[in-house]
Amino acid sequence: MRHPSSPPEVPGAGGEIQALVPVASASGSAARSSSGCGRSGGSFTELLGLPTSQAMELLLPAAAPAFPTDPDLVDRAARFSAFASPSPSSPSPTPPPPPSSSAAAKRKADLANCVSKSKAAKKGKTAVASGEDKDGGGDCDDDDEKPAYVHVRARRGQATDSHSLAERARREKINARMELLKELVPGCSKVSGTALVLDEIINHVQSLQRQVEYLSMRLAAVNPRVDFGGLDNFLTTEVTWPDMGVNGARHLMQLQQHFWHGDLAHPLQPPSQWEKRADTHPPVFSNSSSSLFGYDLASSGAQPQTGKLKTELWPVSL
Amino acid sequence: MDGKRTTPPHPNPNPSSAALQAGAAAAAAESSKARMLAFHFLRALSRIHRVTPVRRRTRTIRRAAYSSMARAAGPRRAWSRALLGQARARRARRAVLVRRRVLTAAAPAPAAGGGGGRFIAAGGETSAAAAAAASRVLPPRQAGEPPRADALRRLVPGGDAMEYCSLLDETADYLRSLRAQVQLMQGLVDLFSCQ
Repeated sequence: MRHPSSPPEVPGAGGEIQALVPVASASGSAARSSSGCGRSGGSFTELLGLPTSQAMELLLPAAAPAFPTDPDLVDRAARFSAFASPSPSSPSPTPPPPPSSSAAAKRKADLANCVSKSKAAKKGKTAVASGEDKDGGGDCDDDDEKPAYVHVRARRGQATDSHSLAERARREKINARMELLKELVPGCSKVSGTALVLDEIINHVQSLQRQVEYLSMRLAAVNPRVDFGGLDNFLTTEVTWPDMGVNGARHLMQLQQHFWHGDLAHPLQPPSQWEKRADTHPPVFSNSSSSLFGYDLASSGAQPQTGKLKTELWPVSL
Repeated sequence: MDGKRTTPPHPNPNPSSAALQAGAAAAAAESSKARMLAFHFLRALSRIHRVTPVRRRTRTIRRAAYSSMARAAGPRRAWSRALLGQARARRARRAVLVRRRVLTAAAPAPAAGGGGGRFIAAGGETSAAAAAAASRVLPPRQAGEPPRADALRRLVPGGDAMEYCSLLDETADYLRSLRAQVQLMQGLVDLFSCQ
């Protein structure tokens, strides 16, 4: 019986793997004839040189009861692989009637991902990965199948221990975010390399902050005769307001009167009154989904921190 | 949605407000977030123009810009929480200074009770903010992040306490909000400068 030792990184050349197959199949045929197993294995289990049941034990030490027809799937997966097809000695058993393709793909992916945890099945898995979607499946989080796992498809020629898998998942997340940032920053899509992109992003953020500074200086120098209150009123009629009832509208009108008639006797009173009304009506804000603050406060109530912030920070005046 | 409230009448004593409303229609973008931004910022702007003396306006307007940006973004974002936390700490520090000045000037006995209580609350806030700023010294877990990332951390508010992955996320959101804020302010400046 051929036991593969803990495999190193598979070399990129497919020819070497091909070379292994005839050797394996030669010994595998002998093993197969000796095994009384009813299932005729694909070249995958032949590669291991083990009968199918023992191969399954190797693969899935813990999860065996979860996959009742796994050897079938393993064989089917192996058969789809690149080096399974040219192997002459593998008999082609009647291909089991394929279930709905999505279910098959799902179970195969699931199996492949569980398999990815174990070193002994590395070659079969990488073949499956290369044969099928490489990047389309790449970092699919199949949460509907196994919520505990993050499914990362290891590509050909990569290590499969859990650390490197987590590393790879993290790297792919970071790369996805960098793509988003590259779209946001103008003129960054043609720059390649992470350091240059980061430089561009930093420059862009700095330039925007400088623009804010400059524009605030210009706004400070604006002619104070201009009536900001009118603008304010116009916008309040545009904004979707939480249902504060008739009192709210009347309050708004009071504010306008103050601004327009130049009533500077109590300059701070109208805004503070508005703030007080907002303070005493946090349930109003939390109930209306299309609230003034634009975000869904009802769903943010789940987090205690944001709930505390909602009542403390957000109604506070500037 | 329009039938919900009656639109209040528009008395227009100021001849420029007609142009203002035309400009406001341009400024109030379709998305609710941009509208919220405009609302908060304009409210702050009107208050600043009434209250603040001229020499300190630039700084106040800039702070109001960041505050309205943070408020429009919502509490879900780390950078908006950090920005508003900074604003609160600043206000608390200023309140402490004012009260300190008042206490040293006025008679100590009657003012000490109330002033001392507010001292402690404001002092607690500022010390928390100071501790948060001091924790910048110890870097969070960075596995393979490039050396330029700490410059980004300094730029994005609240970036010190984040991992690299969420830092990128927050940077994207911060960039979007910054761009919206700059567009709003630029529109306002154009509006007011062509009169």
